[in-house]
Amino acid sequence: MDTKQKVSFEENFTALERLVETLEKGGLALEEAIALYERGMRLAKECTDQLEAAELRVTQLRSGCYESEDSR
Amino acid sequence: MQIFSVGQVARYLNAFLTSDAILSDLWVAGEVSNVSQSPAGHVFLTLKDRDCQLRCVMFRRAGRLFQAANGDAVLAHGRIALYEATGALQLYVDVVQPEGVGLLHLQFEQMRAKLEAEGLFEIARKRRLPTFPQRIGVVTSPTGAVIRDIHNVVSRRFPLAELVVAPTPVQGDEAVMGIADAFAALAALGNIDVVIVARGGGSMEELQAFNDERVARAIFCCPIPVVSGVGHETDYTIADYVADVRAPTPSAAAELVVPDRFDLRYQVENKQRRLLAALSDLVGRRQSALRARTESLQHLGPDVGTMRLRVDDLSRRIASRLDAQLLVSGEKVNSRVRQLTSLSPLLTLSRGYAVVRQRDNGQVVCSVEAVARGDQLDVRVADGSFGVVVSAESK
Repeated sequence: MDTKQKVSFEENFTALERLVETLEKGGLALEEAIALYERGMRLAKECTDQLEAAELRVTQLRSGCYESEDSR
Repeated sequence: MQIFSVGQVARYLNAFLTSDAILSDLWVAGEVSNVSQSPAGHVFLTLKDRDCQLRCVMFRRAGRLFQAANGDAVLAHGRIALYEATGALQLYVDVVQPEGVGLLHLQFEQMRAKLEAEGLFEIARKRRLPTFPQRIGVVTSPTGAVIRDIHNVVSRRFPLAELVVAPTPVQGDEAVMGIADAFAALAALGNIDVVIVARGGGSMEELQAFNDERVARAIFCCPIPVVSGVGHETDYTIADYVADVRAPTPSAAAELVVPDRFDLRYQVENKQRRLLAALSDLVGRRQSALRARTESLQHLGPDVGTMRLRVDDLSRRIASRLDAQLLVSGEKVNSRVRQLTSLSPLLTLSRGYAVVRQRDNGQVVCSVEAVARGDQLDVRVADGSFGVVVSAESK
């Protein structure tokens, strides 16, 4: 779950980046552009959600010696 | 004979001592003994060599780079003065540092030259750090401020990552092998994206493990990009030279390794804005293209309004001309009718003339030559006609 989420943040972010470039390059049919736009907005929301959700996560360390939780 | 008071002697001695160029500013090499600290924080100690001793005092405000312990060989800097209360001659120390520093520096420079010649510091082999590391290896002590700082920085900036701590002593006899083993353990996991090797600030001796050749080679052989954050900003260790990226402190190393999520969120928002702008731009282009087409259609197409006006105008003109023509024509017809009436043969006939025609072909007979005896003729008079037969002809 953890790993999957992290992978998908990078993937979402990269996909979003590519999508913006495609849309900015232009030359698309209107329907195509709207579809891309909607997909981009979904990706952006997913990215933001992932960043938000991670805010609540406490990083777990492997070492047994280190017990300090999120100490902010 | 002059007699002095004790105070006069003491003051005279102090004036004498402080005016001496050497005694007022000197470095003394010796071994530390009898270290004690007053409640006010001043440190008292004795510097000695094989058969001499010198009392020293180091006031709290003096810059102390180094905590002198009994048995340390040190270099102390200060001035010689008499402590008038006890009559003791003392070295008032403002700087103290380990005497071995010079030797360590020499060793450091030798190691650096050797490894540099071997290519361990090659810029060309420095690896790029991953943009979004998922698993971050940390080679450091499992307790203390360093791991806590790294943990805080990463959880604040990029909590999507996971820290994998490979605990090791970072000073003392076990540090060198511990650090080398930690690198090997992280590499063996096979899923670490980047490694931070870190230690808090300390003296050159305390950082010594990070100047060790075995640690340098462990970093060099690590298949994962390594960021070093050892000591303070001013400390440079061999490990720093070998690492792919050198950070001035452990916290700085953590900041270098992960992106900032607030920055990422801003970037995502920026992409959203760009998406919207690109789409609006596209729609806007389509709209203005449509508008342009519509306008050119209106320009290029027939101007129906004007044409209708012209048709109306033409119709009106045609109508009025027709009327005029009709009027003229009517007038002509009337006069012709009058003419015709005046020329009508019927009028002539009514005066007693007749028109004679051959019955069979209707030819008007104008000459004797045109008839023969026995021909049947029609005679048209004013109010009708009758048939006759030619009985005689004469000329």
